[in-house]
Amino acid sequence: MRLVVGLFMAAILLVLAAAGPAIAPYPKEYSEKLLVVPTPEGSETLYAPQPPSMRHLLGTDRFGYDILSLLLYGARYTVLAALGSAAARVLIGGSLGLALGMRRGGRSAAGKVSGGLGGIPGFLVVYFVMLAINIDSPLSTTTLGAIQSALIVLLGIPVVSATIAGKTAHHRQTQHVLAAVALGANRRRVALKHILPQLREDLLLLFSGEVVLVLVLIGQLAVFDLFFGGTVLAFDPILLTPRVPEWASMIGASRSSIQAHQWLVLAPLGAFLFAVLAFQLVASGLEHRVRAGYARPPLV
Amino acid sequence: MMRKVAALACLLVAILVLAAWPDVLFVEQDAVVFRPSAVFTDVIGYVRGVADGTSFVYGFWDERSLFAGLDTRIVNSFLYMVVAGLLAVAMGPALGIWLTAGRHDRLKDAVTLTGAVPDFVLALLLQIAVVAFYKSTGHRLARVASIDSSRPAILLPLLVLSLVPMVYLVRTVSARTYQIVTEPFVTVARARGAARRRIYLTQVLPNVTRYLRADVSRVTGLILADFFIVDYLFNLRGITTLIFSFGLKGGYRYSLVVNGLILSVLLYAAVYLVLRAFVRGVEALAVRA
Repeated sequence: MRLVVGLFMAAILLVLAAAGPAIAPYPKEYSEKLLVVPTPEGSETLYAPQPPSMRHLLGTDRFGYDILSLLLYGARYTVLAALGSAAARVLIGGSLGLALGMRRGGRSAAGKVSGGLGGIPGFLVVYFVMLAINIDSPLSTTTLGAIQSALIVLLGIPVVSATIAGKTAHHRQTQHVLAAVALGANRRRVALKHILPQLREDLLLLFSGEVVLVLVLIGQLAVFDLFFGGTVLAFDPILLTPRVPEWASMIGASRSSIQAHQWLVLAPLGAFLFAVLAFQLVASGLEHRVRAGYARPPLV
Repeated sequence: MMRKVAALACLLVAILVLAAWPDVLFVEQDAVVFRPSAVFTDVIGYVRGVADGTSFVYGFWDERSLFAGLDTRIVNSFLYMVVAGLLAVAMGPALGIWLTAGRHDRLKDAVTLTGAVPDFVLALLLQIAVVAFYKSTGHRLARVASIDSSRPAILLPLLVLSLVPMVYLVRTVSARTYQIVTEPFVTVARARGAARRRIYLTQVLPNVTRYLRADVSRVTGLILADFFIVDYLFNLRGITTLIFSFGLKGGYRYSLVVNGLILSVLLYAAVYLVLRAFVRGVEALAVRA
């Protein structure tokens, strides 16, 4: 059930990422910094940010941009960054793990690298590498996003490869693989034809788990104003804002508004949480399915 | 012993190199500059500064000593991390065993799903909930941030800090409990007429706690990573501001960041030792039971 719900939520995210700009109620550049509305006494001028209303379902941000439109324009950055980085982690880390797992001692080598890196919080590494190039950068949004994604991928490869190396080493000892080796299959054939198909569910499980980890990492960086795709520094008052309306960046940019303008944080927070829970449900559902296949019943 | 010294040396080198990155890769006159030699310049400058004391002085508009108020920062950070760690280590395994023993699968799923909520999302949601409750009722449930040293935020930061490691322990202990109750020695105990409660107490509990010691380093790592976020969002006046002080206050201070990162490693070690001692105590009790 949770797998179905998770997949349904993930499908919604994909639709939003693909069609978000087309269904956004306002154009990308449209903002209402101030709005004059007629009243029985004459007229009243309303200043941004505006709370949720029929005109702006999720309200406007401090620059007058419609938050719902921002979320719809930004969905593709969040979804693409998370899916792309997680896919690259699993593809590169999985291939490396498969190769290491086929060699004697490769499993423990992968484990040592992964264990050594496990002690350093991932966001610290990305933070310090990108710190001096992300704010008011001459680099394009795409380049900054690509650098951040590449760093996120690099950080995840050791753990993924250690996991896959362990599972490959386990499958190498199964009867059908030993039989294939005895019949003369070479290492490459054993890996691709006999072990890789056994790892299909593990790789899917890893992928959905990695999507969640990548989302969390992007969010943690945004808390420290390191926004995906670049940070813009504005003066008078001093403000750090994201170049693109990526969801985690929107949370980071509005986190100081929890007292006065809560809708500024709540809307992106809800969208981000929806994305995290979607892939967490997929991961949890897949895990349940994999376990149910071979679990022994408890004896007490 | 030699291995531990080598690991510590590697960690120190990693800190010195990592902290130098903003001087290695940066923007100057609208161009990105990559200057790897800055690592050596920074490290040499830091080592010299340790000798003459300038590595422990920082300032943006005025010069300040690193040691001014440092004891409060360290004690604050340590207390939050230790209390959260003890809460997680005390409650996580108990909850994990209880959920598996009682076949509370749906509740276990709910706990696991709650643990998937990122630390910063949980922190912000709790802050918003407290503010909304205060606005509608006039009652303050908790402080949403520390105002000063005499008015700290306690409840919400501890809740966020302890939740992630606690859910991690619930998951791992639950998986281990499930594995143990499928082992043949449990069948033997049942065949000998042992009651379910007794089997859990004498067979399952000692076997589960045996593994807990291996989880302490992971739990401490989770708490430290969470603490950076929680310290920043709840304004706890811990060590985080030493590390994340770049930006609008006059540039990047390498020595300040290195000192902050070294302090965080020392805090990790201190919290780890306390949690390990606690787990050993629990192990001893479980074996006696």
